[in-house]
Amino acid sequence: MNSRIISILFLLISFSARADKYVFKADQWQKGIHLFAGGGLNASIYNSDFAKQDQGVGLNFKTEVGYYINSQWALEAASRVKFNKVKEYLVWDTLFTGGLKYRFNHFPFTKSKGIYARAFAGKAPTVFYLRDSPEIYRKTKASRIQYDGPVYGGAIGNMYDGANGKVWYVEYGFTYQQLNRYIGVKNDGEIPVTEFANTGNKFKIYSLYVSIGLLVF
Amino acid sequence: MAGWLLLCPLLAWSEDEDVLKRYVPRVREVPASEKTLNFGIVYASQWTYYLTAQHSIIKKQGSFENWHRNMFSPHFDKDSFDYNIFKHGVTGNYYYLWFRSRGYDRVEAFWWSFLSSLAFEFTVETATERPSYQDIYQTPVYGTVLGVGMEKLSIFFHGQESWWGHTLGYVLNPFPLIPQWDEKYNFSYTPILSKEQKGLLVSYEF
Repeated sequence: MNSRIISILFLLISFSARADKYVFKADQWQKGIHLFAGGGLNASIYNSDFAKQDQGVGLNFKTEVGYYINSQWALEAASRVKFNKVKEYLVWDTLFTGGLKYRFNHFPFTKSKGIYARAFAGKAPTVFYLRDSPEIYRKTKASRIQYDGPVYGGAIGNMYDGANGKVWYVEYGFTYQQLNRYIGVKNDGEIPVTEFANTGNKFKIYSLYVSIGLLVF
Repeated sequence: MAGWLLLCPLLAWSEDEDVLKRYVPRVREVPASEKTLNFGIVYASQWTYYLTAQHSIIKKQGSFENWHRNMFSPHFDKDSFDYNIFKHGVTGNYYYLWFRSRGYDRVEAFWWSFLSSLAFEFTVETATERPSYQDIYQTPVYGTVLGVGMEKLSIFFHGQESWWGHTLGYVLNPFPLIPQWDEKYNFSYTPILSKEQKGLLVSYEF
């Protein structure tokens, strides 16, 4: 598994990083490697031992490194960092996903040729900070609990050509996380130490997000 | 919050043609020998940092056996977000700015930041910990996003044409102080030898 992931990383490197002559436009994607970055809001529903059927709203930060195969298709590696305040817990999770991106030449009810869809899957380390919850902190002796499991999602967005040549986007998406394992973590100086581990409980997160961002290169 | 802080510098830009010419990195075809040197400097810096800043942890947990075994077992780490997002993002930002200052275009600088990050994760830090998937992605990607913004912000400050503007510009991006390897150094020294005094007059123009 690990060697396969490393092989994919090197395979991506071997693609030519140099761009074609024309520039990236919202309705004409440029072949090669491109990086998008953006931020926005997300709303999530949590179901776990620590937060049963709770909701959280927070900020997110999204990056996508994509290999744009042609003007319509791209392979991408993405991350979306979410911060949510759920009751007394700060929840921080990072959705690492790989996926496909497709631009529609024609889309119903609009003349825009910058509309695209993304489908992705991956893994999402999710951390509950317990510092503000003395009872659980006392019981577990851990300062945070880290969950781990698969994430699946999809999104639809629209790209725009800015007046100064910058390409920007607005994207709406959803994700489903099923987190199967968790560990309690406390810091021994700078070193994070596992206090306990459990694989018995399943924990789900349903999340909607909106993100606005820019083409970095 | 963290993401927005990383993203904000991307919006800064200077439009002054003269400033752009003087402070935007000169992109060129970098020869293989220079690429080796540039990467070697980063790699040597990584070892220097690791052996000094992580000295106590290496003493406590480090071993040659770990260094070899950990190379082949990357995992999702359990570090806190200040490490995974801020510290790795800032480190990646310096990788990116270093390679940009050596004449690489944005995409090349990103790839070399990525390689530098892989080198640290898989061949340096393994004496004390396993390579981290979060760090492999976040160091070069967040570093590049931050680096692109810092470069723009630095150029903006240089464009103010004041001592404080130049100072801030070099604080945000210090690497342009080192000329590219194919440039002449704006460095001179003059020995002063007289009966009354002996010394060296050194000047560096930037």
